[in-house]
Amino acid sequence: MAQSNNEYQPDPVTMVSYHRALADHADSLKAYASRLLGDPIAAEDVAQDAFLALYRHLNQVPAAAFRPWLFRVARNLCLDQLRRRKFKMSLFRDLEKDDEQPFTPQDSASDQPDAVAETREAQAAIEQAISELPTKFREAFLLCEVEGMSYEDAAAVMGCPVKTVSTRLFRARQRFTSLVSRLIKV
Amino acid sequence: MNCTTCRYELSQCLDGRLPSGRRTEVMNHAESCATCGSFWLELQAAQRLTLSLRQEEVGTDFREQLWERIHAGEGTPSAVFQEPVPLLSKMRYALTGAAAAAALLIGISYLHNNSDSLGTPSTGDPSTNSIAALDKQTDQQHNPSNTGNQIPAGGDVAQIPQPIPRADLAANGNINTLHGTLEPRRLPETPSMFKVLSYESVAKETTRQFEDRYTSAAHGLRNLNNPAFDSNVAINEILRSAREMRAFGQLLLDLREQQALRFDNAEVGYQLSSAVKHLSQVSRYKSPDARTVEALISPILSEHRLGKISKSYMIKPLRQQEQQHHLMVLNALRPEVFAKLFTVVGNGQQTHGRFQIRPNVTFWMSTDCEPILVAPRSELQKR
Repeated sequence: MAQSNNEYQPDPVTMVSYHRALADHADSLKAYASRLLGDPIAAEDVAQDAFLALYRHLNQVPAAAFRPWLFRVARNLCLDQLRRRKFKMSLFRDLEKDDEQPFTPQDSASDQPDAVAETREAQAAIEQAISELPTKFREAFLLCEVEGMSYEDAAAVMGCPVKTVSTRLFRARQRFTSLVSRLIKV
Repeated sequence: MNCTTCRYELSQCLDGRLPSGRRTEVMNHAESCATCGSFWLELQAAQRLTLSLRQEEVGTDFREQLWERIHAGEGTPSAVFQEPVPLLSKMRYALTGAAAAAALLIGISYLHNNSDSLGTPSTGDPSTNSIAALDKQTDQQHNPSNTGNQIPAGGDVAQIPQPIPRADLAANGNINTLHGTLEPRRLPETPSMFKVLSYESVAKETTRQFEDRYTSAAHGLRNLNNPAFDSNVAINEILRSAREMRAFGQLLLDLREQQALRFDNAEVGYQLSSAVKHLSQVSRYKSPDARTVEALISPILSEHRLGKISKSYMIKPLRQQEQQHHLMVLNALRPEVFAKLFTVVGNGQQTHGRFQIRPNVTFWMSTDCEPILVAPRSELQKR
């Protein structure tokens, strides 16, 4: 059930911070949700729900904490959706697997990973590798490696100790490295 | 050093989280151990790959839809506060709760029996002395309909904290800015010879400066497409103008958000929001080149309405005190933008020697410290 509060009007200063958060974090929030859900359309809804929730709680969240707060909310929404669609998702994943192309990254002339990653196939392979990480590791990887969040903020988002973030990130990196090993030219 | 520990710490090294002494030890090990050395290189390469991922973007109607939902009074989705709790934790909570309830019951029972055995004076009606009876009495006082056997419902009422309405800005409540708290105070009297800086003067100067940068950027773009000109010079001119267009555009959007300003054509507002968003993306590039300019800035310069934005806005009339207060806050939040719009030409007591005060183009502005006299930069440039 949704709760509303029509009377609350944030003051202009808070609104300025809110708009900055919209400009700075909407895209990354969508990307984060999209990689957790594997569904860009649902991810956009999650990002919008998170910003709606932030607006309704602007008087309780300091501007400096907007980013971890938004990611925490987005995480809760994603996990809720995943729980609800668990069975459905597994069905879709199985169907996707049937159509899946074999993992064949382009081996371009350049030895630079950045240059390789410019190709669409490589991007898809990286996304695929991220999606294959176990959820807990994927979360840590997305927050720290992709979004560049500090361990402390990631711990606040994931609701776990900083040490756990560090361990999960390490495990995620190990798996990710082996999954994209074909793209890596060391 | 153990290779497993080394790899774990190499991951922390990548995020700069290892103390320098420990880092040296780890790196020494990685240099001497082929497996760990190779793992370190792989970690770095994998990170570069991740950083090269394209940034996903929200749809163009994301903001509009969000505002529609906000204005429609839609509330917080309940799933926002539903933290996933693992099964083991649920079991642990249940067992802890059961143990606590059992301990409480034993305690109450012990107290009850003890007081009876100590011979507490009775008034003749045992029902008025027992704890259960007192509970029942209290419960009935608070809820006459509750006859004692009903279990009060609504344990989850406080699950979502309710916002406490904040005092309206116009009512002179304290304002928390990023730089501290601006306390409400009586604004000083304005000398009659000066106009007070108003939304109108800020919007007028901002749109002028925005148009000016728009023209410069368009000029740079023409030069970029002209082989006779140095493309690097043209790109620098475009980027410099684009950065300032973004700052001025954002200020106009802030004013619109405060409902101080509105565009007479909704399309202009939309184009401005979109332009600011695109211009923000330019700053993500370390060294933007001609392709970046073509992709992100060129489309904005084809929106000719933005080039005449000073003719497309209207100011909402507000009380002077209210405007001064809002502008003071905006100045505190965006000092760098205000400095590009207005030059301080003096304060209440004296003027800076090199400026000639002209009442029509000099404004009185309240700040957090003392009132100042400011003049729009475009007016000073004319002189």
